[in-house]
Amino acid sequence: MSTLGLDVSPYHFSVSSLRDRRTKIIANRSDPTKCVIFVHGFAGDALETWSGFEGRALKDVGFESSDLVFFGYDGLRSNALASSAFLFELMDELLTDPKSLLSGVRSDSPAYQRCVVVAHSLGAVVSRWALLRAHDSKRDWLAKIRYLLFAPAHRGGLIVDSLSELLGGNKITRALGDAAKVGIPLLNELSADSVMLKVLEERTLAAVSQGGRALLPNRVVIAEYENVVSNLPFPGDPYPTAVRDARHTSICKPTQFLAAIDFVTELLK
Amino acid sequence: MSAGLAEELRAANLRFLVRTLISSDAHAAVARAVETRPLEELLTLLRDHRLRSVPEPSEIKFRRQMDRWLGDASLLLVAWLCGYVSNPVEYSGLLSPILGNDAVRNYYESCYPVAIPWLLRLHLGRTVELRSAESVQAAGAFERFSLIYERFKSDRDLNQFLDFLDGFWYGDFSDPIDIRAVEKSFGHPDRVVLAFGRRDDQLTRLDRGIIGMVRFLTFSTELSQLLGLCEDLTLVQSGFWYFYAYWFREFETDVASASHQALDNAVKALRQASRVGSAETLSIVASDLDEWKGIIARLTGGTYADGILSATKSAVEARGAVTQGEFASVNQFLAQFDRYRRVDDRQRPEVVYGLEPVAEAPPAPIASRQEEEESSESEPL
Repeated sequence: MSTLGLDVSPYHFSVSSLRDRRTKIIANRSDPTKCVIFVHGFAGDALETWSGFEGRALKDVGFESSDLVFFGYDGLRSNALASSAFLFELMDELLTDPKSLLSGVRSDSPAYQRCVVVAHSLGAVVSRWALLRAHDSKRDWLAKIRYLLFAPAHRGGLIVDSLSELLGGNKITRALGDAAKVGIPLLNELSADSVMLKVLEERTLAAVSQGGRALLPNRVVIAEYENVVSNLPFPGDPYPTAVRDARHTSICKPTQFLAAIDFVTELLK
Repeated sequence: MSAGLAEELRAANLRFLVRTLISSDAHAAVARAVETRPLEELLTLLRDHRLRSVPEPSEIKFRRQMDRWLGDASLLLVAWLCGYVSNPVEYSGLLSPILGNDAVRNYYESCYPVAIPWLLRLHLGRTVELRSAESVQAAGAFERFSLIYERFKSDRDLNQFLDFLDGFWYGDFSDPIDIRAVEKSFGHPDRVVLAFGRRDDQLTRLDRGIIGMVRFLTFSTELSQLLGLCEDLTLVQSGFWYFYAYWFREFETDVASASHQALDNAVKALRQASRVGSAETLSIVASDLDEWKGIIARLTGGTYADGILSATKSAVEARGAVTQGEFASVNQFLAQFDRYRRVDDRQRPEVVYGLEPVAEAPPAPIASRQEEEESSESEPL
């Protein structure tokens, strides 16, 4: 038989849902000590944004001791702060007592020792607010967090004409989107002078000055052909790693850039 | 040819899938209902909505849980066909009381015929034991399939569209928001985009149906790609298709040709208005449209129907003696799904499915297609 690219995952079971049904998990076959939480952006869904992390990346030995959790929320229509509250609750449970949440995948689940939060686009805003809340709530588990951002939207400056790229899906939908040049409400919330982003920046800087280093990403990855968000660095963040030939929506997909896998696994070590 | 997964892995996979099934709220609700509710009550609850509408929210909720349970349970058979799990017969004590319940059977065999749960019941009873693939690629195909399924079942917009396909309508009886309203909206590109741009608290059923139809298009494309990869795995390919065949039948009946026309109109409108990009962009869109029509034609046309039917027939014939009841049940299955095959295949005289002639049941009388959840819906347009 020809190679179909359909090899089975060596370390993980097939995908299943967590309690809210929108969040998905690719659970490890053994007893994992680490997890990766993926936070998608505007129009993505929990899995589609990360195309390749649910497939070929699972063959990478770097994931052999990890669960992969794909946080699901309505990126297009929900309020970013509300989504961050859901993410905070998820992280809090996973990193303190995940037994009940993960009862559908294994009988016993101790709290993870390491958690890599990986966020794309709007997911950067959602995850930064969630981590800020963890800092304000004095959660011990912040020390277990490693943080990776792909094409973050935390500096606003969204280009509304790029709606077609955000809508994704297929060319027909994108063409329809272009035709009307509609302004998605959330995009206004993330304009360059957004109060929500300004407050996020001020509070993050204050938290970092109090020792909250976990709020700063370990790495920020940006696309060479970014035409949706501003690539201006967030204060305190490391200088970004740029990826050649990448675009806003392709940069976080191992199906298009294998290096995306390495950016995650280096933080699991 | 690779040898397939080790038995130990298959057993672990089976335990995992069963664990996810029984830990769901759908399983809790369905198992409790089957155990505690009188048969007559269950038959009423799981009735054909075309004969008597289902307006009660609690009834709709239970039927959704039933659907979810049937989908999750069906995964076990698909996983078996793919060689991803060991034989689910091991769990017949858990599954058969539900799948074999007369009201539940009536629901998935007569009211809304769905092949995979039906076949799972026959498998658990050892009436029809289809072979399991011995290939790591097939097991990998199951993992890919489960990704599509997880996205399918948790997409609220897609599920609204499926509700419309299934006969749900809202609002005023004289001017209902139904599948026709969704289809008509595609004649107006601005209306489609408006649906995408609305905040959650402004979204109407129609908006969700419109977005859901686009999601259905995307889902169909992804499933079609997977089916294409499984060309050498005929039984697996057919099993994947039958998992969703009910929806493709509904889509074919209600929307397919009209949706082609609607999307054609949308592309023409874009072309005339010249509001988008270059001529090159438009030609890409047009070619996408052609590709999508081809995908829908394959998914609704019965291209993948033969694999399961011929394997079912062969499995029973190879087994030899079966009881009268089993015989009738298999024949009913074959007769029901024979009509899913391509018209050309059905006319081929050398291929005759069915172990003995069975009279096809007359179509159920169709009352008005009404299954309403709420009495009205306000349109903020």
